[in-house]
Amino acid sequence: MSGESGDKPPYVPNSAQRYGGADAKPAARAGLRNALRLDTRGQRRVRFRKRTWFLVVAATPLLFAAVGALVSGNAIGMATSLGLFAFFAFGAYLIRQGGEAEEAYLDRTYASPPATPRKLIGSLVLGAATAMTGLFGWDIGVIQSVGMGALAAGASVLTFGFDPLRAKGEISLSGVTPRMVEEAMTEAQERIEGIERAAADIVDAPLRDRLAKITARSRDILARIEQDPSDLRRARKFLKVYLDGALEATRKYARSQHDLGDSDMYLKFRSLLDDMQATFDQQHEKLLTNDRIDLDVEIDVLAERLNRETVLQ
Amino acid sequence: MNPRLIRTLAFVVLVGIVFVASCATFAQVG
Repeated sequence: MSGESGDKPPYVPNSAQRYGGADAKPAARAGLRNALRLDTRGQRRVRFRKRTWFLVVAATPLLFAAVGALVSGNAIGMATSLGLFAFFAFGAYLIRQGGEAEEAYLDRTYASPPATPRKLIGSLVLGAATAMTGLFGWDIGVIQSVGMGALAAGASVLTFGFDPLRAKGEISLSGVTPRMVEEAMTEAQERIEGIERAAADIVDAPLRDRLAKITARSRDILARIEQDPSDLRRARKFLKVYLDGALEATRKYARSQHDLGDSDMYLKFRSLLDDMQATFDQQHEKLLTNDRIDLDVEIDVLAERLNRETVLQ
Repeated sequence: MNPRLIRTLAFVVLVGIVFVASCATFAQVG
């Protein structure tokens, strides 16, 4: 905007930022902040696995020390070296676990933070392991050991970053909190997985196909709702009634398919699935065109139908 | 400073400390 030229900050040459002076500090601090920031672009993703391995490898001389102590008949020395190595490995393991939890968190649009900040705890464990190695293995005195431990812990935090600490996702105007979205998504996922498990037991291939289409479409709908959860309250009802209905019907059919053969029940179940598939397609279409889901009527219709047929009583 | 560079440097420092401390422990025992 050209009208704001009067508010421009004073000119600072690039060289001042690069080579120090008061103006260099903000840039350096921003770099540090970025290094610690949550890894939203996946830069750390692949690397944290390799790096935790490197850490364990770097601690392997402790294993040789344990063997050396064993050879010279020093049982305490051996136990110390082994314990220290285990301590390092435990820290690396915690960081790895924390990294995996962070990946799962990043993959979702709405997520609560991991219950324990494992990366941070892992970094502290690494620091403590380093300090103890200095104290009991290297024998360099308390102050140096603690300093070295603090340096290691700090370097580890810088390398691997903090764990996600806040719930992710925005609170929408309609008062839907990220937690509500997350719960609804998890519940719906569980139901879809239940349908898939029950469908695996169904012998008839065309029925399995229909169910596969329904579950795939449900996932599309979930993804859509996750992107724009403003209508979650009603969408949740939709997910619950439809998916519960599909789950119940599929389970019942799978259980009694062999008793009834190609009877009336097969036809009923198939037509129910066809209807469901059509409805799911419609809902998805509506979500795509950003129509509010006109659920209530359809829910009633389907609920009534599920009750009437109860396919399957 | 590039955050990636900071992370890499921090990692090198970390591995260096762990390795040196472990080696020193080995040397003490030896």
